[in-house]
Amino acid sequence: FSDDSASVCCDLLQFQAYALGKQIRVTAWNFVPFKCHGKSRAGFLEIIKWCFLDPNEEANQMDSIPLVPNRSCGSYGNNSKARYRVYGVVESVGPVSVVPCTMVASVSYSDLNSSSKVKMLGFVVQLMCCECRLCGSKELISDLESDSGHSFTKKETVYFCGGASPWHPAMTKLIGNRVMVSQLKKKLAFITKEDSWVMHVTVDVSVLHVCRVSKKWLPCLKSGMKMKGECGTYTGVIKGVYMQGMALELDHDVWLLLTDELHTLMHGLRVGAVISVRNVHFVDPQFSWTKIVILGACVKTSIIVESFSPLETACNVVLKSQSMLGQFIQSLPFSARLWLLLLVSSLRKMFAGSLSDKEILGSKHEEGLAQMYASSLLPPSVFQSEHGSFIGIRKHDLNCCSGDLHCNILKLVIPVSVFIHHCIDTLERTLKSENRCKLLPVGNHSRVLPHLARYSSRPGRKTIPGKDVGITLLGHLKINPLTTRLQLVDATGGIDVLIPDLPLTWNAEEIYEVTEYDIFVDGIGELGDRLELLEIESLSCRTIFNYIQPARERELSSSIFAYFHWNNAKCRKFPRYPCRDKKNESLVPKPGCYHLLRVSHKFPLQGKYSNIMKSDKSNTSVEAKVLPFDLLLSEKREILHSYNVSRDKTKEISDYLINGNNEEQVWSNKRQKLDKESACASKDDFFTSINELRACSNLLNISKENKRSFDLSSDDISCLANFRRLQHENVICTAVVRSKSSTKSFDSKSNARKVLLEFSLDSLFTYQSLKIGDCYIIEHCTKDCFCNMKDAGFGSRAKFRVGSGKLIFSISFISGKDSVSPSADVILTKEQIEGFLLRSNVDSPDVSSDVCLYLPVNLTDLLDVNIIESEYSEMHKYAVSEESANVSVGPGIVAGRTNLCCGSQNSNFVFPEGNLISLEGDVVDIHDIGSSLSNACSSAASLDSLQLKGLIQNRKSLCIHVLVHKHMVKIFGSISKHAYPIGFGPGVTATFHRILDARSENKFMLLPVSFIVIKSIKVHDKQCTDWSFNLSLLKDAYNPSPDSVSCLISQLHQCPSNKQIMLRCRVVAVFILVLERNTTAFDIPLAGFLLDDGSSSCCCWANAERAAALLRLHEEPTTSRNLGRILRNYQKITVKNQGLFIESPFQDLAVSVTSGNAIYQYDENNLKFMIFNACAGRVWNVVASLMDAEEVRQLGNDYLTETTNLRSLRNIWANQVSCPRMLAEAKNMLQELRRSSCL
Amino acid sequence: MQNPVYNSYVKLLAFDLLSLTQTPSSSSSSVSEPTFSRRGIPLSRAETLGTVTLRDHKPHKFLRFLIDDGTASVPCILWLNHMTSPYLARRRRPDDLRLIADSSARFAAEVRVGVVARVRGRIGCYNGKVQLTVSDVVVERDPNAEILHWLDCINLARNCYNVLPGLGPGPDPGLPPSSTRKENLAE
Repeated sequence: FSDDSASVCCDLLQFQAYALGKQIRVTAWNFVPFKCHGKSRAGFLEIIKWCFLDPNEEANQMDSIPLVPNRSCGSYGNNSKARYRVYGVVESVGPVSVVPCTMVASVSYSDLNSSSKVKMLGFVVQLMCCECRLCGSKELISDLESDSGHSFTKKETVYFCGGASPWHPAMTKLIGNRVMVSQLKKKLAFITKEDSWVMHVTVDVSVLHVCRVSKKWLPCLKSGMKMKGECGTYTGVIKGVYMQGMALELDHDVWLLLTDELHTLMHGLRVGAVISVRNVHFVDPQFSWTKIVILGACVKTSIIVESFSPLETACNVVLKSQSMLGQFIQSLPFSARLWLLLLVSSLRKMFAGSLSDKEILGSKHEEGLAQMYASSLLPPSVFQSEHGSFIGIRKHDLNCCSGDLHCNILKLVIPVSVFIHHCIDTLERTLKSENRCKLLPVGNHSRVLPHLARYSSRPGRKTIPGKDVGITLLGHLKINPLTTRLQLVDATGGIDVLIPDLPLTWNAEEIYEVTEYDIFVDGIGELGDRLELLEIESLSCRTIFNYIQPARERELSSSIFAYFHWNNAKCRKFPRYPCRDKKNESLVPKPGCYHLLRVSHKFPLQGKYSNIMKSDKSNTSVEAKVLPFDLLLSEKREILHSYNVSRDKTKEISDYLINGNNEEQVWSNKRQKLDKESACASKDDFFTSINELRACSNLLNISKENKRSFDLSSDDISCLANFRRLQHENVICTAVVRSKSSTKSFDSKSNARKVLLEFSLDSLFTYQSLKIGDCYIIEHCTKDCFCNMKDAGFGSRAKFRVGSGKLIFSISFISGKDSVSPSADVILTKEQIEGFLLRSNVDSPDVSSDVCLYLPVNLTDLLDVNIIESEYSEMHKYAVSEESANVSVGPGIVAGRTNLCCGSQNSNFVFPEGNLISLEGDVVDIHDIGSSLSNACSSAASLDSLQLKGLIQNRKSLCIHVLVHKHMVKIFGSISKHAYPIGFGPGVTATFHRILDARSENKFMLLPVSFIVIKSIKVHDKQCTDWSFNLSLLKDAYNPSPDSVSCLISQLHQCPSNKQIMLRCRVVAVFILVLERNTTAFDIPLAGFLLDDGSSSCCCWANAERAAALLRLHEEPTTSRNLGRILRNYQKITVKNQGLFIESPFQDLAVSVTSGNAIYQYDENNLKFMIFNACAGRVWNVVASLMDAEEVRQLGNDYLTETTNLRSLRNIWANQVSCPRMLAEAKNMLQELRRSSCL
Repeated sequence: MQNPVYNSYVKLLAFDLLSLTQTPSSSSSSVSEPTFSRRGIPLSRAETLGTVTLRDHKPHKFLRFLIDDGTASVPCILWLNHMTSPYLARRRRPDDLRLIADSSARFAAEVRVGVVARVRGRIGCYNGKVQLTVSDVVVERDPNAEILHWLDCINLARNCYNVLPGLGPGPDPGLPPSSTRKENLAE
């Protein structure tokens, strides 16, 4: 749009081709100023209403418009070659592109402008033409217009070039209109060397005729859109513009992905505008986490603004992206493209603050984090080469350009806070769908309690398998200062993680990627109460792009955690990500002297991290035993690449290491170091040994010596150490294990000293990853007390602070047991070492420690003996010394133990006595015993008199039921909320360290020093609430056990009691039903059915799957789901038939629950419905055994009410329930009847 | 009630069921419901299986239908008035009534002419004829269920009902025309 003064970019509605170049009056318009870079570059005029200035113009519209102005259209036949014309419907308009002149010169324009070196602008228009005779003839356009019987099927291409190229926006508007372009030339264009294309080319004299047929012709859409990249037209309202206009949200969950050309050229794509997209690819990306439709724009796509946005939204002006990321995005298929845009958006939020935009997005010449990450995940086959518009359109025609990717491999990366929100929302949705009309409890007590105090009364734990979520977790591993828990964090938040096999090597600086994990949400009942649900989806592209920080998961985040094993956490190393080199060198222990430690106990964390900060004294401590050996590591190292390890190489290395080709230099550095150390004159044994070491000219002489005559009385044992911290390579060096004991020999049974390792604040992560029972090496340092401390026995324990500078490595011992003959009392031979090395490379997953020590067989035995011995003596001494409480373990623990200590001096208190033991088992249930602790413990004599009130303060008293070797064990006690491990709850396998054996049957006590280690969590199926009983027993119908006899209920009294009987009967009533919550869903410990076969009735008792079958839970999965849901709220439900007379359907059912609360009416009705349903069921075959009077009396006393018509009935116990096969049964019965009538 | 059969759902062929002896209740009970007996053995409930041949539906009142088992047709009544009956409203909780009404409505929906239904109910009498007051309905999809039911009836009559110490002679269950049945079985 221009007047005399200036021109402005514009768009107008109700476009008419003949208005071009005419004066118009604009009666309604929007002007959108560009928010553009400083320049006062006008803006964008949106013309809503307009008319011709000269009203006569309307009337004498010209049919034909010359494509190049200032040429009269009458000059027909000026150019004899320009005699072709094309009449048809505009199907698609390609983007304007520059055709290099060489090509122009060689093909289309050779005769016109052969010497031209100018680059030609042009664009391709494809028309659908009719092949009828009329269209082919050179009739006037008016004749054609009148005819409506054309079928436009033939595709013709017109190349608008040169002076006609400014027609691009006009032609775009004309898509769907019938036009005729005349005076064209026909040319053969070579697109590639092999491919040529016949097309019409406009010349300066070409004329465009726009037909005034009002009806627009649109290609009819195929009725069944398969969403696999078909082309089509879509009209919708722009709801949002994201990622600089590269992704537009239309209507709801329709995402339009623009090409570079489109999103830089189109100015009118503002929020609120109605646009019509032509020739766009419809793609269903099949993302697992949301259902959307992608409209993928390609070279043929054009966008027409149907109605301008009434909203005051800015229009985006984007310059064509030059960065590598932009090109990378354009090279991807549509679904991956959207995924990548989401990834970029997420990454920017996740690493806001730690990484700059440039580092994430990359620049012109460098790849950013996003691109590196994406290209590592995408298979190379998905990348599409970019073409120019010519080739693009040509290829598009030849084969559909949207070879699309199956997007299941693409896992979404989203900020942690969005992830948590999504998980909780997913669960809430499931819950809501499960209990649509559940009434909210009036007095929800759990809401009053602080969150952590609710852990024992959690109504249920919900699991979301990570593979169902389809989301990758990406972030740093950190310890949350508030909760002292390990978390996976990004800039938006953190989620608790439980990694049972967390190694020492984890690095807080690295970015970890976790793809396989499970999400556990505890306290879902509490979530279920908040049923005021948002209608919007929790995880949509919009939320990710916008990232609205959901407010409420802040308080909830501690009840959700991710569980995975360490090998599922991939450390993503990005080359441009600031690399921590100093960490790298710490991956391998430096040569020097190390102490061998064995962690005997970890004391639970006391108090909040913030409190620790204030006190400036850490109270995280680990008890360890210093083994009477030191490890000396030599400097000579060899790197062994695990992926290309060959036998030869290993041999070479072991040769090198054992024979010491370069003996002189091996320990030279070491010696210097030792010299320095010897300066500090110490009389300690250890230093003596080091001095001795110095005296040796080199260490390998010793090893040679040892090799010749190895006996146990020597100080040193040489061995091989293998460092496996680095990925893809093993470092091997020689090492010497040296005895520290006074006699300096290995055969003396020396005791290990005990030390207390205190961890400073910055080394809390080391504390987190130490494991009880594992061996570690810690660097020798002159200042630390390992060397200074006297071997003072058990009474006193030395404290030792571990700061961040201290490096601890885990160590494991591999002996030659497998390959060395038992008599071999010599150092390992070369072959054996080779064997070990090869083996260690093969079985590397078995050994997860940082350092592997290959020892001669006898030494390993000795070490084991030493470790076990010290452990054993330890255990005994400990048990005795525990009560005297001379262990000082950090201020928090001491505070917690004060009562105990006072007690020992105060004769009024009786203290539990017993041994401290470690126990491993499956946690079956945890329940809160609160103030009734003493009641609960009353049966245990030693616990009876215990007054634990002092301990209970500020703590939660629990009773933990643990299954240990098929024996149920109860552990009483209290856990402070900081010591409460992440994820602890029913379903976990845990080790309880240092719990007190209360000297009563299967009862133990948790002490403040007790430490709980979670080994694993049972991951239940998503459908865990479904009844998971084996249905095969129902399918396998007529297969009664051979020793059962088929009979009538009235004949039961004649049956021998040892035989199993088989009845074909139906359920008349359910007189008792006990339901219990268990770890998977629920259990039916007991149910009583009244069965009837026409001859009489009997009482049938059943449990588990038999009961479930008789209740018809298999037939109606919704019922069992309901039941699972109900039982999440109540621990145990008992339904009794209280009627004096059992009669279906008027059964008088009474429902009672043990949790103390009244059952909701809704739940009660559900239960009754289930029972009514069971009583209107099919015929069953029940294989059962007769119950004797004593059994019946027992059950009857416990469960039966005074129902008159039950007492006289026979009682049976159901062993098998199945469906009868009618035909087979009938055949049998017919034979039976024949036989009996013959008699 | 020592009679084991009295409270169970006896399986009788239709002709047998319809020819039960009715004795006007002689006991002192206020409700003058007749008692039914077969060969002197009192019965209260029965189960029958057959094709639904007639359906008379009065919404929210009752559904009357006929079950034809090949020997005769048993008239059945399924009450649908649980929510409106003042008698029940006095005796049952509304929630329970709602559940019963719902299940009755489901049964009523399943009873369609032509289906083979297994019906249990109380033996009652209407216009002097035996009628089943339905407690539950199960539609059988296996065609062999009907044959098995016949055989069950014969088996029970031989091994149970006829051997019980009765009070007098009743109709002999005999073997009703069974040639067709055996043909079916032979398939």
